[in-house]
Amino acid sequence: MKSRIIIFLLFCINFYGFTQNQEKSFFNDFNFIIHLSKNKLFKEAEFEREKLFKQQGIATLYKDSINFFLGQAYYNDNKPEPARIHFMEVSDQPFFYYKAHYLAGIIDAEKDRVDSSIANFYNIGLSTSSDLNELRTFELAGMYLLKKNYTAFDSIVQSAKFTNQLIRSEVDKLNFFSVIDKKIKRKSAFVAGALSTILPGLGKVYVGNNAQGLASFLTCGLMGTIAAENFIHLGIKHPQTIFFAGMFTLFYIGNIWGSAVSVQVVKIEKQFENKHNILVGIKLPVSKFFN
Amino acid sequence: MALSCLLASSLTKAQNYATKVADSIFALGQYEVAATAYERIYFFSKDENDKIQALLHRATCFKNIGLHYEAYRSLVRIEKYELEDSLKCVCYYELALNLYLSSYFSDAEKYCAKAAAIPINSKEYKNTVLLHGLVLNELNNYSQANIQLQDYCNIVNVSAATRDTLSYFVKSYYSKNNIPKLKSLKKARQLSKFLPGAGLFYAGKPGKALVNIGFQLVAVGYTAANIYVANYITAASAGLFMIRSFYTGGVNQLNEVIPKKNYYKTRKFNDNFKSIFIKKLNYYNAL
Repeated sequence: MKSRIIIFLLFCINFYGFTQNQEKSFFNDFNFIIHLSKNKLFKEAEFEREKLFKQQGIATLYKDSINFFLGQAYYNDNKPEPARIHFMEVSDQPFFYYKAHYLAGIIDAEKDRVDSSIANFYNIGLSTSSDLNELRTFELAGMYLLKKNYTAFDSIVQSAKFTNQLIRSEVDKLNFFSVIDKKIKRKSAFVAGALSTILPGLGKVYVGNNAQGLASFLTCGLMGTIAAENFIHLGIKHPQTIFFAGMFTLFYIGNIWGSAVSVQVVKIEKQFENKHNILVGIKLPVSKFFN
Repeated sequence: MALSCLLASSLTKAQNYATKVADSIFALGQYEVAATAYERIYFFSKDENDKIQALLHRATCFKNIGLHYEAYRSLVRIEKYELEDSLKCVCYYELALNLYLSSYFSDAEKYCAKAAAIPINSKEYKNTVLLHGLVLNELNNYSQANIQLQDYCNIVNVSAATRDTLSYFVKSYYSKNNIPKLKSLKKARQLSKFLPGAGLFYAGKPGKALVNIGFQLVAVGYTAANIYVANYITAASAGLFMIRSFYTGGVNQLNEVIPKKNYYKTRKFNDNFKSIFIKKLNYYNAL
């Protein structure tokens, strides 16, 4: 009996030692992977990560930490796609879960995958922290604004109560951006074209490109003058008159077409600028909140 | 006391084991895996010497697979200030070599100059002098390259006759008559501004020069013809626009033509020197 007890105790000590050693080995590997990712040695970090994850008995917290820190290293090094993959691999244990999944959602929004981002924020679910829930609602509102679903945006913003000071100020900014977004739609390509038909360059002034409007007016005017001069001195059948008349026609029609197109170009430019502002607006609270 | 001795001994054993593992991977030719194994040694080792050796081995791994800039990134992490001179020289040489092989010649030159300031007579020191000469050759600094390579000929272990042969070759190759005469962009532009097309003739592109002159003459003729028929607005706008375009086009074309011409000239001269000189060094066992 005694010998059995001794054998059992020895087994327990050995097992304890083994688990301790294994824990230390995981910790060392974890530190090494963090060191590799901090030094931007991503290929090696991925290799070591794969090796570590294949081992039995590794705690979820280790896995989450590695995925999170590796994702963040990629994100800081301007490599959003691998960063997103690692953020999404963080499990639903609360330590890194929220920050990782919020960042993944923002990466999706930056890469024009707003639907995926919305799905991600819905999947995050409600938390026990009211601040975190407000942040989630705010992010969802921002995503709907990026998607240009103004009804959904307005309903979220009006129905939710934002008590957090930081989020409330960002909501005001989003409201401002939504007003700008709605205004961008108003200018008409037909009006711009018609104005340029009456007076070359006027359509571009209507769009808001005053300098381009003046340049178009001067170019068309000069072409017209040259064509007229050639017509007076050389006659209508002279090749030079035909050439410059053709050039004038080309510039004139081109200017009308250009004015109509520039409505769309300016719209895209303004939308792009507004989208950038919205993205900054939804990104800022996440970084401030979790830091 | 006994426990701390035991701990230190077990740490050393673990370190030795890690080094053996990394060395065996290296010996198998799996350089990428070996590089990570050496990085692991660098990260976990408490001993500065082991850290330096790990980084040097890691750099060798990358060098063997042609990733010279990665090798440089490993070497640059070595703290050089506390190293002894011989090891410092090895580090500077390896840094310079990897930068040279990655075509960062100006940076390589800085490390060569640092190695030159170390008062030792090791193999790496001699190699650094040779490398410095080759770097200066790539930087088109032929007079300094000549001095460096003459120095190398003087310190290398060969017979006096071989030394003279090598020295004579370097001296004659870098003689004033042999050095490529590079075209001056400033001079070419001034010539083209003064006489359209002259800069292109100077750059050794007579075909392009004639085409440019031809276009400019057509533009002038067109403007004159319009003035003749009293088409003053056409002459002042379309005519002058054509003249100006061909004139400035001829001048601006030189910005591309001259550097390209100079590059091919120096490339040919530098590559030729490098290949002949290395062949000679191999032939005389002077490497």
